[in-house]
Amino acid sequence: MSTANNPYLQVSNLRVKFETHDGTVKAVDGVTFSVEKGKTLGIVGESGSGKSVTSLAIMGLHNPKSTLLQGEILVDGRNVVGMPDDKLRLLRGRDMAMIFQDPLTALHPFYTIGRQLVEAYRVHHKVTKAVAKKRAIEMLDRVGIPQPQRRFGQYPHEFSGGMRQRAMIAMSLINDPNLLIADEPTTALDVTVQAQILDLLNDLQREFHSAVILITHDLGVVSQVADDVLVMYGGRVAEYGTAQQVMKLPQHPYTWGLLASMPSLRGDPEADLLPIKGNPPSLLNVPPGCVFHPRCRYAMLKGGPCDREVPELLQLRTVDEPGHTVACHLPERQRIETYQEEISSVGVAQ
Amino acid sequence: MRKTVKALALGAIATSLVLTAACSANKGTDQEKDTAKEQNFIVDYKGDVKGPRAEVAGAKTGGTITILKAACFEHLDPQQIYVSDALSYGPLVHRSLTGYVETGVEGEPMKLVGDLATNAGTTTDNGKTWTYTLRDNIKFEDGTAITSKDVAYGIARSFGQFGVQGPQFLQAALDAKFGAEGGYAGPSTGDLKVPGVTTPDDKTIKFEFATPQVALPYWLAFPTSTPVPAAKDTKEKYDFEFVSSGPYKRAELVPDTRIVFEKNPAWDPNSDPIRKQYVDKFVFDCTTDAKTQTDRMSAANGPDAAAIMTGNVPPDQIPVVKGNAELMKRVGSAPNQYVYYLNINTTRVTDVDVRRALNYAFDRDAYLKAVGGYDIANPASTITSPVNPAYLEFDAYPSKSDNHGDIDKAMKLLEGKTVPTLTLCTANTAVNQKVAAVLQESFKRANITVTPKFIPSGDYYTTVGRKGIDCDLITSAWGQDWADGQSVLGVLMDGAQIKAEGNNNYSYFNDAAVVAKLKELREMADRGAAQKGYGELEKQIMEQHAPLIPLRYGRTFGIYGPNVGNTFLNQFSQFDLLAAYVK
Amino acid sequence: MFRFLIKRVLLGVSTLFAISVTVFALFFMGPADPAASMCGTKQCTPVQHERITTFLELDRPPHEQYASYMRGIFVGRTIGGDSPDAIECPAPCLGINFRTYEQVSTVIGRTMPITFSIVLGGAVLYVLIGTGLGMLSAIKRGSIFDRIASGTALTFASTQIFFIGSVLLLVFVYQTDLLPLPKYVPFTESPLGWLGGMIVPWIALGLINSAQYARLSRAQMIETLSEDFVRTARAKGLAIAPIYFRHALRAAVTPIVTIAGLDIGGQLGGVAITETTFSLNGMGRTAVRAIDEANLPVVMGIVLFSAMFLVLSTIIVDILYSVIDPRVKLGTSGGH
Repeated sequence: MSTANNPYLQVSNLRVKFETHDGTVKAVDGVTFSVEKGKTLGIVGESGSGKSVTSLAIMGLHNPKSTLLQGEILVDGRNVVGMPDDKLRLLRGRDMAMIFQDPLTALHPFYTIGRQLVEAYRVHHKVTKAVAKKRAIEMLDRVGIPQPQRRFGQYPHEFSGGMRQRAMIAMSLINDPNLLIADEPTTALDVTVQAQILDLLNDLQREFHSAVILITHDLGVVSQVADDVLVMYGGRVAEYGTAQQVMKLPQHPYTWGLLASMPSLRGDPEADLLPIKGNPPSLLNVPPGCVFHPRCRYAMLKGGPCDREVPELLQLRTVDEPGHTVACHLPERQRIETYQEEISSVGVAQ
Repeated sequence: MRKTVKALALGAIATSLVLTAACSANKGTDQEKDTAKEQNFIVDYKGDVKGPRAEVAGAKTGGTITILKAACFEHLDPQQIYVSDALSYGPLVHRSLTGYVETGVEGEPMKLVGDLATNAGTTTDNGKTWTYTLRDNIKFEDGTAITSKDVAYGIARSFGQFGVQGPQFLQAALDAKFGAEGGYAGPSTGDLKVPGVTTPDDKTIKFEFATPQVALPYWLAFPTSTPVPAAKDTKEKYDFEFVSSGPYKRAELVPDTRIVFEKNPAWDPNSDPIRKQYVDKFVFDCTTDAKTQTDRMSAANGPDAAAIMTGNVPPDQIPVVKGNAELMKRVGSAPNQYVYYLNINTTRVTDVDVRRALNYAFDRDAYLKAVGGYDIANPASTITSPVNPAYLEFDAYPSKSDNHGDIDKAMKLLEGKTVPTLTLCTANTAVNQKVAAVLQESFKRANITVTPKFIPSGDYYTTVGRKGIDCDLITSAWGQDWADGQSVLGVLMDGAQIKAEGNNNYSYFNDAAVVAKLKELREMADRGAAQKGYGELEKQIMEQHAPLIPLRYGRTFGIYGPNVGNTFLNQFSQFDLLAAYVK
Repeated sequence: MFRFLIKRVLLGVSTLFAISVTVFALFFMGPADPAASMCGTKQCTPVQHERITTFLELDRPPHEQYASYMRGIFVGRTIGGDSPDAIECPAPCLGINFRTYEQVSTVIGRTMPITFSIVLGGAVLYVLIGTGLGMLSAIKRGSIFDRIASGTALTFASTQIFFIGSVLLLVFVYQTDLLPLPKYVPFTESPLGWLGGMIVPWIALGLINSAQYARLSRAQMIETLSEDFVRTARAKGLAIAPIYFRHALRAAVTPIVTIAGLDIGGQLGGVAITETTFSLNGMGRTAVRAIDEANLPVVMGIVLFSAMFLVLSTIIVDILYSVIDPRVKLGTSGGH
C-alpha cells in the first residue's frame, strides 16, 4: 500500500445503492482506498463484486435518480459525491477518464474515430477543429496506430479489436487526465493482443504520470501491472494491500480462489483446480455475516461468527506487512497455515 | 331505368344514382309525406306553356347553392346523360326539345312542355311524324343562336360512341338497324344525316318513324336532344367541355372533384318556361359521401346552410335525424320510382286463387324489417310507384291491421287444394338471403312450402328472363324510364312482348284482354289522358290475375339547408334546383 | 452506389411487371363485366353492351389486351380500334377510364398531388411530433410527462382514422367552424388554401400515427440510452444536449427512418380510408371506387404507381440507412 500523504484519488467508506423494482441493491457497501499519481491500483473481483460500480461512481456515471451515493470520493481534493452534474462533467474526460471493456460498443458506430477523438478534446479545450485534429492524430500515433492520418477518417467497425482499444485509449488520454480508470480493458480482446494493450497502458502511465485504476477479474494481470491490489467481493473489500503483499501471502479465502483459477500461473497443468464453488451473492439479498461465507470452504472450520458477523477489514498482526488488510473471521495463524499447506502447495507461483 | 337489384349487385353505381326516383305531388318542403296523391299529368301538345317561368313568391336573387355529392356526374356530355342526378341538374346547363315543369306545389300537375321547342310535339298522323318548331331567342353560351341543325347534330351524336351510355329508345325507333351492321353510327363517320330526322329550316326539326311513337315527347325530354354546336364537339372531352344552352354555364370543372356553374348571360328567361336564374352559383362538391353529407347538412354551418344533399341519409343515421324535430323540417322523404316485386310465374302457378292466397299470406311487416325497416322502404300494394302519373291507390289483398297479412283469407282460398312445393328464385345477396327466409315463413303459415334457389347476382336477370325458367316465385325490381304508365305496366304486364330471352315480364303473364287494353293505351296520342287508364287496368290485373306480390316501394330520405328556397323532391327524387333560390 | 441503384431499379421494374400481370389476371379471372355496369342504373341493352365492349377492346383475349396496354405505355395507342370515335392516347398511355374516357394519366395526375399532400404533410407532423414526444418520454422515463404521453399514445394508437376524423370534423368543422373544411387546393394556386384544406386530415393522421412513432421512438431511445457508447459520451464530459442529440438520437432514429420510409412509401399509393373520411379524392379512394366499377385501367394505373412508390421508398430507405449507419454498405447486402 502506498504511503504518500496526498493521493490523487481518495475513496472513503463509499456506499452505492440502486433502487430497483425488486428492492434496494447494495452494490458497494463501505469501500475505502486511494490511488496516487504514477501508481496503479488493481481492483479484482468477479462480476457483481462492485468493482465496476465503484469506478462508475468515481466518474459520476450512475443515473442520479435511481442511485444513492454515500461516503466520500475526493478527486484531487474535490468531493465528487453530491457534486452537480454540470460541474462534475467538467472533471470527466479532463481530470479523470475511463476505458471500457468492449471498444466496439463503447465507440459510437456512426462516427469516425477521428470525429470522436476531436469531440473528446474539444469538450475541454476551446480550440479549432484543425488543432483538435492534429492532437487526435498525435494521440493515435502515440498509442501505436499505424497510418494515423488515414485511420483518423475511419469508422470503429473498420478497426481490429486491438486497434479499437488503442483508439479508445487515445481518446481517454487526449486531455491528459490525472486519473485513468480502465475497466477490464483487455477482456474482449484476443489473448495475443491483451499483453500489448497492458504494455501500452504501462508505458503511457509512465509517460503521463497519472493515477490508474485497473479493474479486472484476473489476478495475473494485476500481478504484472499493479502497485496496489483491492480484492472486492459482494460489494465489500475482502483484501487490500500492495501487489507484492497480496500475491506473496494472500489472506482471504476468496483471494485464494482467484489465485487458484489462474491456469497460466499453475505449475502443473494436471493438478486440480480449486475453483470457487457457487455463484456470487445476489446484492438484493446479501447473506448475513461475511458475504463470502456461503461459498467459503473454511467458514465452518471455526464454527464461529462467519454467518452472523460482518468481518472487519483489519491490518495483519503476526507478520509485518504494513497496509495489508483483510476482512476474514478466520484466525490469522490458521489462514497463513492453510494458505501455505493447501493453496501454495498446489502450485501457485509467487 | 330498371333492375336496381342487378345494378346494386354490380356495386357500380354511386349512392345517389340508386336513389333515382320520381315524385310529383310529394314535394317535401315542409315535412315527411309518404302517401302520394293521385297524379295529374299534362302534356302540352298545344304550346300553352310559354316562357318565362312564373316568379316564385318570395324568391330572391344572388347567393350560392352547394350540392353535396358522393361522386361527380358520370357524364355531363348531354348525349351521355342517363342517370337521375344528371337528369335532374343537367338542365341547369342543357336545354332539350321538351322538358318537365315541376313546381313542388301540392295539387299542381307536372307538365311535359316544349323547352327549346314551342310545344311538346305536333303530330298529324297519330305519332308517325312529329314536327317541332324552335322558340325565339335561344342561344348557346357564346351568344350564337341555336338552330334545328344543332339539335339534329346532338341527336346524331347520340348514335355514336359518345352517346352509348345515354338512353337508346329514340335511336332504336328511328333506325331499325341501330347498333348493327349498316346502322347509323354518329357524326364522326362524316355522315350527319340521322335516319328519320330532317331540318327543313333553322327553326324546324321533323321526326319520321316507321310505326307510331307516342312516347317521343318523353324521349326528347332526355338531353339526347340537347343541341351541340358541331364545331365545338370535342368528342370524349365534351363531357368536360360542353357548351351551355341553359341559364348556367360551366365556370370550373375539376373531374371527380368539383364543378361550379355560374350564370349564363346569353340565356333569355323569356324563352324558357322551365328554369329560373335566381342563384348566382351552383357548386357541386363531388367528394362527400352520404354519411358526411348527413353530418354537414345536420350542422348546416356557413355555406352549408344553402346546401342540399343528393345522397340518402344512411339507415343508421336516420333515427338520429328523426329525433331532431328542427332538422326534420328540412327533410325531404318520399317513395321513389323503384318498386320491388315477388313475381308469381303464371305459367307454373296457374291457379289464380293460389296466387291470391300468396298475396294474402305475405308478411309485409316481417319483410320490411328484413330489408332494413320502414325508414328505408315503404309498404307497397301496387305495381306502379306512387310517383308515376299512372299510379292509382288501392290494395287488392289488404292485410289485417298488424301488416302481417291475412292468413284466414289465404286459407279460405286454398281450401281443398294442394299446392306443390314452390321454387323461389332470387339473386344471391345478403339481403335476399334474409328475404328468402321471410318469404318461406310467410307462406308456411298457409301451408305452402317454398324452396329458395339463389342465383349469382351477375347472371340473375339473364337467367330468370329466360322463358320457361323453372322458378315459381321470382324477385325483381323495376323503375320507370319516363313518367308514364306505359313505362311500367306496358313493360311488365304485356304478354305480347314475351320472348325466348331477355324478358322483363317475370310473371310470364299473358292475358289477351290485358294485352289488348295495353295496346289501346299505348297508342293513345294524348299521354296525359292515357294515364288514368293504366291505373284502372292495374287494379283489374291485381284483382283478377294476381300475377305478382308488390313487396315495397324504394324510399328517399334527404336533407336540404335552411337557406335553400323552393326546393322539393322532383320526379328523379332529387332536390329540385331549376327554380330554387337562396333565402 | 451506382451498381446498387441499377440492381434495385431492375428489381423494381420486374416487380412492377409481375404486379401488372397479376392485376390483369385477377381482373379477367373475376366475374367483372365493366360494360354491364356502364349504363347507369339500368341494365345495358345487348346493343349497348356490345358497342361498349367492342370500343374498349374488352372482346379481345386478355393477353392481347395486356400486350396492347404495355405497348401503350411505351409508344401510345389508339383506343376504340376502327371506330370513328377512337380515342388517341399518347405515350406513356395508361389507358382510359372505362366510364368517362378520361386518360388514366390525367386521373393520376389529378389524384396524386392530393394523396401526396395528405401523406407527406401528415408524415412530417407525426414523425416529428411522435419521435419528439417519444424521445422526451425516454429521457424523462418514469416521470408524469412520460406516463401521460405514453397513456395518450396508447389511446390514440388504438383508435381508427375514421373515428378520430369524424369526431374532429363534427366538433371542429361542421358544428363550430373552428377549423376549415378539408379540401384540396393546389399549393401553387394558394399555399394558404392548401394548408387550410389539409390541416384537419393532418391533425387526425398526426394524432393516430404520432402515437405509434412515440411508442416506437421511446422504446428505441430507452434502448439506445443504455448503450455503451452513450456512457462513453458521458465519460468524455459531454453536456446533456450533445449526448442526447448527437449520440443517442442518431442511433435511435435508424429504425424509425426505416419504418417511416416504408410507411410513407406505402401510403403514397393512396390512403383510402383517410381520403374517404375527409372527402378527398386521392389515389386510394379513386382506386377503391375503380375496383367497384371494374374500371381496370384506373385500378391498374394506380396500383402500378403505388407499387412504384413502395419500390422507390425501399431504395430511398436503403440509401438513407447507409448514410445514417456507415456500417451498412449499399450493394453488398443487396438491401434489407
